[in-house]
Amino acid sequence: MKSDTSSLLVIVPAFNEEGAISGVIRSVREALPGVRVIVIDDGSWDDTARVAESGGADVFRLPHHLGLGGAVQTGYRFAFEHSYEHVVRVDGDGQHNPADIKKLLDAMQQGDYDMVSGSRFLVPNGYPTRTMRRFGSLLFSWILYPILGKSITDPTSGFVAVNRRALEAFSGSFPLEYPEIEALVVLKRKALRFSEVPTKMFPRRSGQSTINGWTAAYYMVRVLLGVFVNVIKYESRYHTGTRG
Amino acid sequence: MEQIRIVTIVFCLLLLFQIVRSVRREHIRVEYSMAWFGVAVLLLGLCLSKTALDWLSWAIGIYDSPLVLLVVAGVLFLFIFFRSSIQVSGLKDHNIVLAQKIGLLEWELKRQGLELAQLRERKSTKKRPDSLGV
Repeated sequence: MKSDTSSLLVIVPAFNEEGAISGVIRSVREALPGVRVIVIDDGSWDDTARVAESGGADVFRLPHHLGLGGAVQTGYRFAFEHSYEHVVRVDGDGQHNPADIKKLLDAMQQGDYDMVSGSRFLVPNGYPTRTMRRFGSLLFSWILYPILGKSITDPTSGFVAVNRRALEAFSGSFPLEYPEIEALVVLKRKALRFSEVPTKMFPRRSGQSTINGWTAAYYMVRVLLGVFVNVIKYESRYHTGTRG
Repeated sequence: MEQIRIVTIVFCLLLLFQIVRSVRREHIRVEYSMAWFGVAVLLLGLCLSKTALDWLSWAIGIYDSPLVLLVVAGVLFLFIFFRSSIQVSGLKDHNIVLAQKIGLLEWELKRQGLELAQLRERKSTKKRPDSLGV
């Protein structure tokens, strides 16, 4: 990957992450000095936006909570409109290791992929994963295999790098809730290429996951339905420009 | 049968009254009230015309008039709810796009405001030596 960071944008979707966001911005800056970091504050009711601003990031404040997909797509739209070549999404909870961003970008360039995601399961890295999450990832990998035509070890990973082709696809059409898995199907539908690289992940720096207990069951059903719908999707609705 | 007919007629009249009231107070837009008007008028027509209800009973093969009324009402309401879901989905899509645009525009406005302030400050520091007569 070329060292020029002017064509690279790092987007950090954040919802009530005041405890972790400054650390995330700092780590990104340490890994890639000079890179532009934008935080999309998804209607937080804590001090996320102010902390992110004082950390030196550009902050887009959404007027109300849109959900992860809506926040991520805001960043993708901005990047597409401002002609960025590559975008890396790093979550605002501090689970991703920004030192691995270069790994994602190198893999994307070397393999001519449109999207590369970081996998915590490709090579065991000592990350403590809950049994439920591991089971969910295995189940989705198994379901996605015939759809994607390839094996994906960590389909729920939010640590992703995309190029301009994927950016164009996602700025027009991106799933709203739990977008990671559906995004893979969107890419496949648009005949774009994607891959995974092993990355290190940390436990959350603060806050807690929104997927717990009953929401985990909702998550499974919602994502399965989303995948099914994406497989049979009627493309022209997106071309009218009314859909987010 | 007579009892259910009277109850349905009263219900339809109340529904029609409520629709007209809501449209007048602009709680519901005319285009969204059309489906409810249609349902109320159709159900009222079936209750008032025994011939129409008998024909419908024969057509759908249910020879119990109250049950026919219930089925027709259920189907019509399901249709309205489904149509409402489509409309809500469309509104949500538009809402997402608008919220994203507001977020981006507010940031752009703030950035331009800061640039303008910096420009003014630079101009005023340039002018200062002249005003002192240096």
